[in-house]
Amino acid sequence: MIARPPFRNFCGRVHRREFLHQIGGGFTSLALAGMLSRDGAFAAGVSAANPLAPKQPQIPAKAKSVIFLFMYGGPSHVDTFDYKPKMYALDGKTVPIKTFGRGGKKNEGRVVGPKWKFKQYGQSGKWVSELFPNVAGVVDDLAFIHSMTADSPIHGSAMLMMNSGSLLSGKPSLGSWLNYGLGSLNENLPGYVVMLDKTGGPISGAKNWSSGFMPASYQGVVFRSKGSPILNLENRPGMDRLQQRSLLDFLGDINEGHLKGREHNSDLAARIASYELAYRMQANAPEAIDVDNEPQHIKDLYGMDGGRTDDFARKCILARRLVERGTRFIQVYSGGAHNDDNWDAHGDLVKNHEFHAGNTDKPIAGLIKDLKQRGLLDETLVIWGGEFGRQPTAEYAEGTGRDHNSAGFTMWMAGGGIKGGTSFGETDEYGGAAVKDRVQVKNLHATVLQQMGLDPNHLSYFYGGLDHKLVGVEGADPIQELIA
Amino acid sequence: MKELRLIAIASLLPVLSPCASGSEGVEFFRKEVKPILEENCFKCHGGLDDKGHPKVRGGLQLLSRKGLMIGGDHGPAINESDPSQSLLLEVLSYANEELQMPPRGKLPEEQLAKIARWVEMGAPWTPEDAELMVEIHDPLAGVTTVNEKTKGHWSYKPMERVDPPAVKDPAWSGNPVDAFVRAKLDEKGLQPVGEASRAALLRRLSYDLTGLPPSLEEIKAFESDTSPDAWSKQVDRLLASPHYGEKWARHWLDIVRYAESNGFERDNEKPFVWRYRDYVIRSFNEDKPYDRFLTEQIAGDELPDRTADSQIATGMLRLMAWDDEPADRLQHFHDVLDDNIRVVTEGFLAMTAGCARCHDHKGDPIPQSDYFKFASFFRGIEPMGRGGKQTQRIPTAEGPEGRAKELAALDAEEKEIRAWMATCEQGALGNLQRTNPELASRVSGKGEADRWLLTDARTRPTSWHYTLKEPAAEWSTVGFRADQAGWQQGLAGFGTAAPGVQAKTVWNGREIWLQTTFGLEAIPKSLLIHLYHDEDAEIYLNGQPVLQVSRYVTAYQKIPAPPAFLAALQTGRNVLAVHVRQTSGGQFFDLGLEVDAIVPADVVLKPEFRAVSRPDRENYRRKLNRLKEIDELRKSPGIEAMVITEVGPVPPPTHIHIRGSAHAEGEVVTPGFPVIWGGEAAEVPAPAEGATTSGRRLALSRWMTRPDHPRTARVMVNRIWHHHFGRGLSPTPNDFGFLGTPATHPELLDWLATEFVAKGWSMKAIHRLMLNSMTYRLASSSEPKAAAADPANELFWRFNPRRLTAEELRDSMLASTGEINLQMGGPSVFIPMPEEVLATSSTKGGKWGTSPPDQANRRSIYAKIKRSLQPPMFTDFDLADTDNPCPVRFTTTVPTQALAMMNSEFVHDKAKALAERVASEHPGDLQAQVRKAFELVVARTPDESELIRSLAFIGKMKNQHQLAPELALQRFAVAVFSFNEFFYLD
Repeated sequence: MIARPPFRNFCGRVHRREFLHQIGGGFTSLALAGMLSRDGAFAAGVSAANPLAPKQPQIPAKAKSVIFLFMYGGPSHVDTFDYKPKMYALDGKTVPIKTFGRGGKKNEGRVVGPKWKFKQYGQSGKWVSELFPNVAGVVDDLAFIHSMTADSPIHGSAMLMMNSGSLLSGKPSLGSWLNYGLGSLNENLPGYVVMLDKTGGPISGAKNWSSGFMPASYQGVVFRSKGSPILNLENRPGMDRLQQRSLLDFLGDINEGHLKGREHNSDLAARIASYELAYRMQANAPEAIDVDNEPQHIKDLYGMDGGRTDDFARKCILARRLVERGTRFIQVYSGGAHNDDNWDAHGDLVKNHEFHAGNTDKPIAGLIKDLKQRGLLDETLVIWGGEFGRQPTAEYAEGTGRDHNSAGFTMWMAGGGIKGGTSFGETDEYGGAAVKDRVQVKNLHATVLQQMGLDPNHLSYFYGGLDHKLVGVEGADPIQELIA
Repeated sequence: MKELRLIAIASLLPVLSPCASGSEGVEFFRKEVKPILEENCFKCHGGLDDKGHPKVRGGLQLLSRKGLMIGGDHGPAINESDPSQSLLLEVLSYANEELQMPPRGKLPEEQLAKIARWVEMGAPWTPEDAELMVEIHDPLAGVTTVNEKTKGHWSYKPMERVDPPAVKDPAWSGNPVDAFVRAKLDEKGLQPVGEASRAALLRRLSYDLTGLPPSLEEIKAFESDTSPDAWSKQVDRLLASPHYGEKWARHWLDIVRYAESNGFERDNEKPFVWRYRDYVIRSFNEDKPYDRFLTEQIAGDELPDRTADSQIATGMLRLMAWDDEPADRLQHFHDVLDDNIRVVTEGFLAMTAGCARCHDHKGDPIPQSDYFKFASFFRGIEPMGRGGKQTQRIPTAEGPEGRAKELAALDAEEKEIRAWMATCEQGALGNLQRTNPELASRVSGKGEADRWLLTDARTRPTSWHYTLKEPAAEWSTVGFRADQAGWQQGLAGFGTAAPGVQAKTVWNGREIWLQTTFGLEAIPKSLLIHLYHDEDAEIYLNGQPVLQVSRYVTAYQKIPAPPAFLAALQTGRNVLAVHVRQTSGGQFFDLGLEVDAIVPADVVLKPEFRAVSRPDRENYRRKLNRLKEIDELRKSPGIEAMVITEVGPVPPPTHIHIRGSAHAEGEVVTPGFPVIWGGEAAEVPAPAEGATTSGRRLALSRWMTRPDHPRTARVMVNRIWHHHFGRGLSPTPNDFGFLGTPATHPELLDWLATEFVAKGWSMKAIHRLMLNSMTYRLASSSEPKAAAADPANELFWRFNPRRLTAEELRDSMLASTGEINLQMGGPSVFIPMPEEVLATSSTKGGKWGTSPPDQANRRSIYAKIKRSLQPPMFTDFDLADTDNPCPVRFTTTVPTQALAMMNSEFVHDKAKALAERVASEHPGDLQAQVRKAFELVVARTPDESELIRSLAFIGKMKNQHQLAPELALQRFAVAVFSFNEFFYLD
């Protein structure tokens, strides 16, 4: 969230350079510059007062905001965007293929042919399945990565990896890194917003939007698309805004009295200011999230019509409104909780994917079109994908369920300086594993950071004796082939 | 790490390497092979990045033949004596799953063939660059090797005790702490500010030692105490308070990243982990010598005089986040080990040894071998959850006769309970048959085929995989494939014979492990387990322990699947794994699973069946719970706790892991101490006959608690200073190395550390020394000259004010309303969690329970800490992160805090309670009510102007905002909780 002179203590991140800055900045103010990077890449232009104040990008930025449409549970790539025509004929046949999923490692399996037909769309002639007829209409704006790989085919660790770059819990998530590196453009709204599925959060809950060892100011704020969007944003019943103003005036009086003789403690003034800021947020946030007053043609575009697409449409519209207001990172979950409440189709693949794709196809296409018609797509990076994909073979003796697959899966990006109408990387003939131009999660993260104006290999945070980076200590290259 | 290395291109000498002289080979290389290497390898193995920094991934340079021969972290890339065995070829072939290059994808076969041919030729290279190496210059080399400079670094060299300097001011000469501090101030010509007021002092001291506010009476008593030792009496009084342990335990829990769940997908409970929390509280309250405190946590089970407490202490090594279903089990075992090594080295030694896991430390003289030598002390630790068991029973003293009596009584009690329950069930069924015959007919569960997920031997025996030999640790998990592990297959039931049943697959040994699978398209709401067991059985579903039964039965039991069982179900393939143990007599096991069956217990327990009276229903529920307890009590005496166990007296060898990968084992190391301190091997006495552990951890703690250890005492004394004075003498309490910040008062730190050891490692002795100083009693006010000269207060010319912690805020609010429940110890309680936060969990309600109101009002240290779900009131105010050691908490000031203080249900509830309290204590006297609210929250009475403003505000709420008097007073209470004076200690 937003802050005035923010914190003076660091959870173990205090080191010599920061302390020198602190001396210069007075005891209570934080020198953020020091903790940004020990090689000083950030030393200039950083406010010592506010951790979320806008900061100069390290490198020229192509995008200002990111919308990550997270298909939690793992959508099947061979049934959506990774066209494998030979698979249809193999349906039901057992083939030798190495797979590693929830059910362990196997050397052969019964092929489940793709359950939907594919057609070519757009100038690019991209093959898309019947699951996404609307998204198919905007394929020329999308850049597909068919060769994604992740280090784990298990939800818990794979979710953490896609969100924070590490299989282990405790690391800051992508949105935290962006806000840490860039600050927020709107102090009345959070810089990092997470919208969850109505069935609940993903597994590991808040760990997916945690700021890890960074201050909690950088963690994601959960937004709801109906009712009060943020916890404690609304007054308690019976307490109206006028009362609140009187209360703040009284509180201000008492606190001013207390401040006398303590002016040197700038935290005290910061606390007084934070109440006024919170009060302004309460006034401004409702307008920002008011999707009900969007014009009818916009609601129609997203499918905000009270039907099955309504919920995801509201979230996509809200995401666009937040982008317009400067929020840096917005993550929208399709799917929550466990089993078929998300894309985790172990049982009935057709039922599961028809449900989740049907709920999201139109809103996603609407978002792309709407961003484009407003001229926002150029500066908004949209990402679609899950923590992994699914196996080409069946998971057990009967049925169409597919197990998890982290050896090869598809994600796509759009906008924010990404080259639309392209496809990058390939999986093998079954879609079992990436074989050409393999992309690791850290390459995806590096691409996002670079488009946002941050150097993935020089954005670091000192903790526990190490300059941590989102892309890992060894660094990672962005996927240059996708850059427009 | 950041780029510490500079490049200096070596002179390009046209030296002809003997092997590269064949001109045909060189030409082949130049035309066919070099372009492949240039395109795919050079960039990361010797090339420069876009900023001109060299990249030498994995320590391997591929720009030259020389680079290939020297190789990288995994060894030479070319095997000259047997080229086909070259690492280069293995890596390029993608045969090794752990090491595949280039990372973007396997090279085409024809390119691989060319490279293989070239390697066979002896890897000839173009002569002009065959010896080219990028020279890496490391400017920090001076601090990463053992040399005079590193040995002389303040925290690597031995402690040095110098006498406190003489100071002129008599008020500053009595306490050595003051002498050291004042001497530095005098040196800089700075004057300390004066002493704080007594009210400010007692508020400061009460919070620092107990985390609770003083009462106004306590302040008044202190203010009117004219005796010369008035202050030290307060120090002694508060140090003797049991709440001291609660406050200081929390500081310790921050360092050991205490949490009560494992994190990751299921975020399951860490059972009985609260015993460790209580152990820490007890230890502080008892003033347990720190050397003992340390030893117990690392090796309490290996101590010759071990106690139940010393074993519970080893729970420290089980606190980390743990993935029960990792993609790479071997690597995760070592990740967990690493987590512990980081906590032990950073927490006790302020040494960031974790940085040396993948390579030599880049900022301290800690080579990678030091890390693994340190790791080997812990190598014997049994993996978490081996066989699903995370806890051990710690025997408590009890005679065999007493035990026999206890068991007989339990048997009698169980018999009686079961008889009563059977009668109750019969009555309930009879009632249901009258009111709802259709429902009643379903109760017995007719067993239509489609209702059975697994049929038992009575109808259609299920085929199971089984083994009689102890299987691998992961045998119960989803990923374990019994068919590939050589298990046999057989039809249920297993065993010999038992009353009414005959086994289909003979098992007549002690133990059997069974596994079968079933598919699910949708998750059923309830399940009935049909179970015949003789004797103890542990049942796992998808790797989760879901049911444990002990002893034997003589007929099939119908057991409603417990919540854990239902929670572990998943769509698709489900793996059911069972471990059965027999001690004497015959053996038998069979299990069936039936969907949506109604069992007699449901008829009693479900109110909608209206089959029994409410008191009967509640009684039945109590009896059910008692049966569970009886089962527990019967298993064995003693207390259950999460503790460390080892695999046996001889741990597996400890290998250096190349680049930190558990799959790339390097040389074997044995326990030893860091080279910067001599690097001697640890002397681990041979384990005694019958020992269950190696004794290595005890050897380590003996070394760490040597009185002359250069770190242990300094580190703890610095932590105590940090919590009293707002920052440590070294401001980086977890890092005393070259990347940390040196102590501002090194002589004082050493003096205190040696004093700590001399006083028998008594923490309370050190508290007394610090708290009885003038330095601690200084006001927090400022003074222009000193502020200009030393704005950061490096020299302690004034006291650093501080904000209350998250726990102190909540506890103080509860204390002010009088609702606080100061009961100590025991299982953690659930404090109310807002719906909005519960909704972020993947499970309904987030497995967050409800505690009765008096329990929910316990002190914050007793609140449940779940890794994936934390009360916003705590996280908003900078609670320590649960996954990393937290030596210094953040203190942020952000608007979400203001929103919580103005609009949260918790604050408004407390405001209501505070308003009601003051109104009931001073009925009809608004002035007295306002005074009392000030007194309860900020421990003083308001001055005239504050009183007038408060009354005016309440009046405005009543008149202008039309609020009822009690509501107006509540609004006032909301404001009081937001006073800066409440949040900050002077």
